[in-house]
Order: sequence, then structure tokens, then C-alpha cells
Amino acid sequence: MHGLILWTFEFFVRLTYGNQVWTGVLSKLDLSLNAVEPLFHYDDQVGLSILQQLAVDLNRDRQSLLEDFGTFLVTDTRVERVRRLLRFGGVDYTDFLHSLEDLKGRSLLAVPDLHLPNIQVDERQPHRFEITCENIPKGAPYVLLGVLRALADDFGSLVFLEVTAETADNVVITADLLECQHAEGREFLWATGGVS
Amino acid sequence: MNMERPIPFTCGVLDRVLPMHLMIDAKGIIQHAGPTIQKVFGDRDVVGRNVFGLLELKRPRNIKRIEDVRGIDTKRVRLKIRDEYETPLTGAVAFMPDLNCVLLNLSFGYSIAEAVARYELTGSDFAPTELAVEMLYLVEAKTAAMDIASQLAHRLHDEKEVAKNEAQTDGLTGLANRRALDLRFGRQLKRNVPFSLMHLDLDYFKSVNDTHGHAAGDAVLEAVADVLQQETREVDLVARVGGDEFVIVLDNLVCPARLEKIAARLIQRIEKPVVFRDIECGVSASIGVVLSTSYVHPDPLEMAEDADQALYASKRAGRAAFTVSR
Repeated sequence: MHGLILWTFEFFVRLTYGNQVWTGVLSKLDLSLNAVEPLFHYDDQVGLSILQQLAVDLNRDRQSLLEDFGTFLVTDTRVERVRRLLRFGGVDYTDFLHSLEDLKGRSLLAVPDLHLPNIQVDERQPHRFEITCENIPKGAPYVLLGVLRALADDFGSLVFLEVTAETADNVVITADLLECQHAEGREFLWATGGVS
Repeated sequence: MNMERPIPFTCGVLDRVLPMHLMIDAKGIIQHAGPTIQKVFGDRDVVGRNVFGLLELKRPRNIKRIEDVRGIDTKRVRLKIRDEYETPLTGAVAFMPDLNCVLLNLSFGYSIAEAVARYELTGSDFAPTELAVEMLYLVEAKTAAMDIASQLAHRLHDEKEVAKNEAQTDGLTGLANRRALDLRFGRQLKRNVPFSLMHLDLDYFKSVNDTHGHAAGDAVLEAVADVLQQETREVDLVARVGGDEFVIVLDNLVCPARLEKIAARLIQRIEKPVVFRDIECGVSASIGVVLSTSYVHPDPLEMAEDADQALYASKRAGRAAFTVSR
């Protein structure tokens, strides 16, 4: 697992649940890990152990924690860049959904050793999409689910999202686009911050 | 057989595929502009204007009139928008004989990120085949990666400084240690600035330790360290090199009279008893001094040995004394 992922997850836990929760999880697991380095690589098991311990400590299920992590990535202004990178995918929600197939390739362009799961998007009928996300690392599709929910709000679209199939390898998320422009979305400036 | 049949087309088709194109007639007047070009010029008229009034051709430079465009033998032209930003553009140019006009398709190239901000463009303003969005994505991702890398570099640098300081500091007194002294010697010789070396050894320290315990001894060492720091300058180096042994490197100071004065003052101050838990602990010091100017080729080892000799001369002279070797 790329350090960037674990590092962002640490950020999520610290900001959402507090520093004590994060340090508590690490000390209980007795990992030889004081701080996550964003440019290092970690065994997937490290991430899974942290998630498991966090679920125990917060009395939450792992899937809903991952979904909250996905929501955090889009909605929290302190990680604004993730939202920006995702919004570059499309001018509206449909466009964005199709761009998910490029997500892996695009992120490889930016960070050559960052491997995101494969995603396939099929429009089964008008306004109904099946998003098949590779289950690597385990649970990753639930982060995507949170991201998809939050981005629907971001684009101002009304979308019904649910997991409709799950195997060891893949998770299928079905998205029903009820209204493309349901509400005013969040403002998105295409310009990169800092340039004028 | 005519291989190239004229293809009838509408500008609407071009707008879809090339949203940043211009159709320029034989007089250099813009007949049509793609929607993104219109957006870039905002409320300024584009159609009906002379192209050279809106854009400045940077390369090839010799083209001043549209008639000459036909003679351009390169496919790529470099231009600049005539506006407050002077945004650079890359263009592809082709002459269309049937229409007797020039097709100029434009792109922002490396100035894409600035252009998007300046002209308030979005992803739908670019041709799907143009790598504009990928470019913006990369700029964004690169900035994020640079932030992270720079944070990491600063953190590592800070940690390295802390580790370096710890490695070159005597834990008890906070003075430099022998490692720091060796490094200083090296630098001092490279700089080729005269300096003197003061070797100082406490007298009666052992008896303080034996009589009042190590805690009292430590208090004395700390007090001596303070005196040495106070009586020397920022540019000098004070190192603790053994239990009760100190070496001072005095930078750019080789005047024997001044050195004698400093040594005398050090002894005088060190002799002032240190009060530790109501017990007065008295020590003194013997000092040996050597000057780098006494050597043709100053060598740290040789100087240290000579300073040691001078120190023992002071000890033999009855302690609480200094010797400046000339």
C-alpha cells in the first residue's frame, strides 16, 4: 500500500476522531511505526490492521469507516486537492463517472508507484451505471462509494448509490442518476491554486 | 483522378472539434472564431478584426501580412495574445485553397494553468483530444507531490540538525565534544586564519568528586563550562574533551599578551567556589596555550601535543597557572 493512502487515512482519523484515537490504535497494534511517511510503501496488512483496530475502538463497522473516509476526501477542505483531482475528471456527474476508468492511469501519470484499483463503468440503461471496482486493497470499493456519494452533492446531482454485488475480487456499485442538476453544486475553479 | 475532393463543412463542426480555431480570409480578417477563442477575448470583438491586431506572431517573426502566411513552411507557429497578460499560444496553420482562407488552430501549451485562471475556462472549453485536462491534472498532482516532498525534506533536515547537534555536544555541560573539536580543527586549517589553542585542566577536581560525590563534581563542571562560555566569544569553540579537561579554539587571536590576560581571568573565575547543596566546592585550573603562528605548517595533532606540554609545564609550576608556548 502506498504511503500516500495510509498517510491520508491518518489525516482523516486525526482530524475526524482526534489524535488520541490514532496514537491509541498504533500503540495497541504495537507497530514499529510512529508516523506514516507519504513517500514510503507499507504492507497492505498494516493498513488492514489499523482499520480493524479503529473499528474496534470506535465500535463501528469497517465498511462505514471506509465510506466516511471517502466522503472526507471530497468534502474536507483540508484535503481539497483530492476533490480537485477527481473533479478534473468531468464537467458533470455522468462525465465524471465515465472518467473513473481513467483514474488509475491518471494517478500513475502523477505518482508512478501509486496503484489505485481498476474501475469499470457500464451504462446498463439510461441513467443507470454499474461501477465495478477491484477489491484491492480489500475495502477500497467502499472508499469509492463514499467518494461517489460526496461528489454527487459536489456536482449538485441527485444520485442513488448502493453496493449490488460483492465478491472477493470485485465490488459492484450501482448508481441511479435521478437528476443531473438537482441542486446548486459546490463551486469548482479549474485554475490551480497559486497561479494567476 | 482527383484524390482530394473538396469537403463541404460548416463552422459548427469545426467548433466542436477545434474550439480554439480561427478562420482568416485573404485580407487577414477573422471570419470565424471557435467558442473558446471568443471566451478568451471576452467582450472584445473577434470576428471582423484583423488577426494581427489580436495576436502577435512570435515565430516565424518575418510574417507581417496574411499573404505571407502561405509561405510559412513550418506547421507550428508561436504567438502571443495582445492583452494585459501576453499569454503565449502555440498554433497550427494551414492554407485552405478552395475557401481562399487560412485555418489557424490554437493551444495554450505550457501556459494552460495560467490561461485557465485568467480566462475562467473549464474542461468543456477544450477539445476532448487535447491534453488540457491531463495537463491541469498533472500540474495539480505535481504541486501536491512537491508539497509533500518539501515537507519531508524539511522534517529530515530538522531531524538531521538535531542529531548532528547531539552527536557534537557534551551531554552534561552542553559544550562541544571531541568530535566537534576535530571538525573545527579541519575547518580552521582550511580557512587559513591564525588561531590559538588553549588546553585547560581542572586542579583538585578529583578531591571534590571523592569528598562530595559525583553530583557535586557535575555541578562544578557545569559552572566551569559557564565561565568558559562567558569569557570567550561566539566565534571561539569551547569543548569538553575528557572528565575535567577542556580545549578552547580562539579564532583569529594570537596575541600572547591578550591570551595571558584571558587565561589569568579564566583561572581567577574558576577558583571562585561553587556552592552545591550548601557545600563550597573549590577547584582551580592549569592552562597551556599554543599559537598557530608558531608553526610553518600548523598541524592539529602537533599543536594539541604542544598545548598538552604547555599545560604540564603549568602543572609543574605549582598549578593554578598558565603557560603560553612561543
